[in-house]
Amino acid sequence: MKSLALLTCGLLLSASALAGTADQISIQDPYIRLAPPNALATGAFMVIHNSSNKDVKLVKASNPLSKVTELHTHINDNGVMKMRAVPAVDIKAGGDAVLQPGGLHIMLIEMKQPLKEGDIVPLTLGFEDGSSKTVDAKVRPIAPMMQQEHDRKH
Amino acid sequence: MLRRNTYLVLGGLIALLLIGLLVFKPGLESNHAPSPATAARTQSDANKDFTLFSANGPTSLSSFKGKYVLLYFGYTFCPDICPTSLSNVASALKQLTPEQNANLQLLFISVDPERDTPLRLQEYVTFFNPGFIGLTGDQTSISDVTTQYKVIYAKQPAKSGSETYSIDHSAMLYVLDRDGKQIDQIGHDASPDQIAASLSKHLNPPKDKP
Repeated sequence: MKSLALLTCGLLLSASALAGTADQISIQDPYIRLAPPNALATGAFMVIHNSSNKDVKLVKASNPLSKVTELHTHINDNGVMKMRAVPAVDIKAGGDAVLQPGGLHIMLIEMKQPLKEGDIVPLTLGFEDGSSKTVDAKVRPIAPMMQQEHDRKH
Repeated sequence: MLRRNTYLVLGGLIALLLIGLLVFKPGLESNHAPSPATAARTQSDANKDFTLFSANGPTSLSSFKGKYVLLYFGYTFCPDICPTSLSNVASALKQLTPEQNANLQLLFISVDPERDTPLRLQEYVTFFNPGFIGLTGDQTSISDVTTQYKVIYAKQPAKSGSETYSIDHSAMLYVLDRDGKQIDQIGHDASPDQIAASLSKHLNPPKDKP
């Protein structure tokens, strides 16, 4: 009975632009690569989980610290890495979209200020139905192995 | 009658041209096909010295003679692939001994001379490891070096709304021996452990062990 009420609620809410898709999306481990201070761009990575029974599309992203934010992927063409903007990132019903170095990522282009390790950047993800979700992405060095080594030595 | 003769002459000329093409085409093809001579030339090209610019001025590959050199081709706007590769190499070097490190030099060669100045490159690469050196030059010298190592790169226009272009580029690490001869290539997806293992293999060949 309770689940029926929730379902009804969900159906009613999904009619409005703000609710809907974003409510069924959870984000794990959002982070931004700590880039050299003079880097023009850097990448944001995370795992996007879709707990709904419908496929969802992430269609845009934005943040206050870069002039442009784009969705990108990499194609490895015989060792030549080709970065391409993608119109959307698909998140299958009940599945995950993995944004990671060398593959899908959110690209922050033309930074307004250099990011420092530990900075928190609010990253807003926009979905196909117009709903959106904002997550706090932490700036950290990319190679987890480097970090582990760092941790071991201290 | 005159017109008919003209056609005959023209027809004859065309036929001659076609015959000529058929006869000489195989000859032309064999000139372009890789022959042992061109293969040998390519081989020696790979050992050729080159001079580009670092933040310290003109820098030649030959100035690192006696050290193993790692060459990586990239650009500082590169948001993901180059930083991943450079972090992985930096991490691999930490696994090597100080002696091994003293025998190694990484050179990051820009495929984006339009935007990458020697100073900008230095700031970028030393973020990953203070010993890394960034090199750039004019379009011609960059084109010569990339051709030498068969590096592929191509400018990609930005999506509307952003002015910054990106560059498709070969993302492997070229390992050169103490004489500047290419002896290995490490793929972009190699982990720091795999890079360290490959480098150790070259730095400590079995015959050098006591």
